Amino acid sequence: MSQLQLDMELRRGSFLLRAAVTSDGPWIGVVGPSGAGKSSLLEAVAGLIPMRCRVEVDGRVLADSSVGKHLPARRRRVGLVFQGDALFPHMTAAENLVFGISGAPSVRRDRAFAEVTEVLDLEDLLERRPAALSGGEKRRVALGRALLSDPALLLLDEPLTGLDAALRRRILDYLVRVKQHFLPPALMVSHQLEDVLALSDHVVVLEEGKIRSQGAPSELLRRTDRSVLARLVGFENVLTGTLQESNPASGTARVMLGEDLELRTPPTDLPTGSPVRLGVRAEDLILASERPGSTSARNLLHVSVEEVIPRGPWTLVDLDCGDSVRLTAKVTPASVRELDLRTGRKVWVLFKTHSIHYLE
Amino acid sequence: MASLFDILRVSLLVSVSATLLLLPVSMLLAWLLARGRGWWRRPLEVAVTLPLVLPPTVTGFILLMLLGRNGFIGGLLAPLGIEITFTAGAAIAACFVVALPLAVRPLAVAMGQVDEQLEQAARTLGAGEWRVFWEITMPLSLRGLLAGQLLAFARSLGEFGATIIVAGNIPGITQTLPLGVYTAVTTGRDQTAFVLALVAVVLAMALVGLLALVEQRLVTDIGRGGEGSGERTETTVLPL
Repeated sequence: MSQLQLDMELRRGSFLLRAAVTSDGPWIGVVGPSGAGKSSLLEAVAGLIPMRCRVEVDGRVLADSSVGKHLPARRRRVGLVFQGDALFPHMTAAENLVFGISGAPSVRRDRAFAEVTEVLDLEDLLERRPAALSGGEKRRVALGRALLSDPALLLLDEPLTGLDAALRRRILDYLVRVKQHFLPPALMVSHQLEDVLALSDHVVVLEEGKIRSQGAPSELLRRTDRSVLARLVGFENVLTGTLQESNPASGTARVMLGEDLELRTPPTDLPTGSPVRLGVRAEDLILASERPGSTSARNLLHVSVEEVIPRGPWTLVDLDCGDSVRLTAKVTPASVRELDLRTGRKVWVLFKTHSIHYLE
Repeated sequence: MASLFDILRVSLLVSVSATLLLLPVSMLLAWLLARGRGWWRRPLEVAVTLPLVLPPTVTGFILLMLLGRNGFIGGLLAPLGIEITFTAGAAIAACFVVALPLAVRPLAVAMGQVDEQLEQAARTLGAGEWRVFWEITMPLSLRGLLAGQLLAFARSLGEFGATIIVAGNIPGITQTLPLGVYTAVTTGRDQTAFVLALVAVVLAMALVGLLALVEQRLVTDIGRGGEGSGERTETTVLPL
């Protein structure tokens, strides 16, 4: 698997963004709230707007203001998929697709065209104008057009934003197919962590121009500051696991986290064995010093307190569940005193089936 | 006074030539106005609009000073044995200048409404500025271009004030339809004036019909409801 290296610095007014990223895989995902600098980052890499910056992709310097170098957009070989698709309205889908193909017609070109139309299911759309395409169809044509320009780097600007859940799922599948089939190095930008986690080999969490956290998706979830995580996905706790069995009759499903941590989640129609990602809010976790008797909460884990972090009216308690699974609970300072919560203390954590949410 | 045939011949020759000359010039000026970023954009806009607000006789007088034997342009051409004033060339120049704002403004408006993101997309796909202009900007501004050219052609057909000053009223050479009507009326040839007026009305109606057709065809042809072009369908191309 190839690597992707990105080294950049850009300045816009008082805004300064600095990012040095080395990814083990070809897809880097950048996530952050609006205003974090995601768009500036894409614009700087694509060379669309003049700004003071230095951009280096895989050792190739695309721009360096300090030496007055700014490669024009058309020479950067970046395939940018715009958030609004930016399909040419006066051309058919086919004409849009071939716009970026350079050089004389050749067998290789024809094969690339056939391959892209097949992978993205574009055969039936080729003669249509963008006005006659649905949102999902437009996105696929835009993706195909970028791929056919033979980019050294694919740039995806919020590729899943503005689509309803079903469509999002389908476009996500297409993106996964593109990734597996064509293996272009890509830089994807989104304000939703989920989108980025689903596709990227390396995730960068950006806030106010600063990298808050970065790493492989699984590692990132463990390392990222819980409050940052909560801002990005709405859950302080994001857990990855494997679906064992879904039993709608009992109203639960079983999910394994690591080797021997098992959770009871709401039922789902995903097939058994699917990798799943679960979100749990910190305030939905209940801590107990003794093992509680029979309760309606289906999930009960014996854990040890890793750290107690006072946050004004709240206290965050980081819990080590073993199997490198961590949870964060939000409790009142009064509970901290009563349960004598301190690092190393063994406690029981319990939470209801329905406080577990499937992310996706 | 020239024959009806000569008057029509001169009129069409002058108007068609002026319009053809305006085609490339208005594309360049409209593009500069729509995409220009420099300090020169405002002054250029004023210069392009000026003939629209100046009395045509004043425009004609300025042209006469420029094109005359001692004028800035005429002086350069005189040593080559070329004299423009009081020729069909002068009539074409008069129409060109007077019709310029009408050719440029609708096109500039149309170009201004082309989503710049489409041009950006073309650039990331490897297109140079020349290709961006011809394959993205121009096709998406076609309605403004055609409307502008039609208006310019119509204005040229009706040009009187500037023409009579810089090109005179020479039968068979610079006597166009409006000048013919003027001559006919002032010399008491009411019947000739009536025939010429009738021809003018028919021509004008044909042009207005063509303009309406062009608007309608292009609106249904290009991206109704398509992104970036949605707004275009709602704006009128007439600049006034």
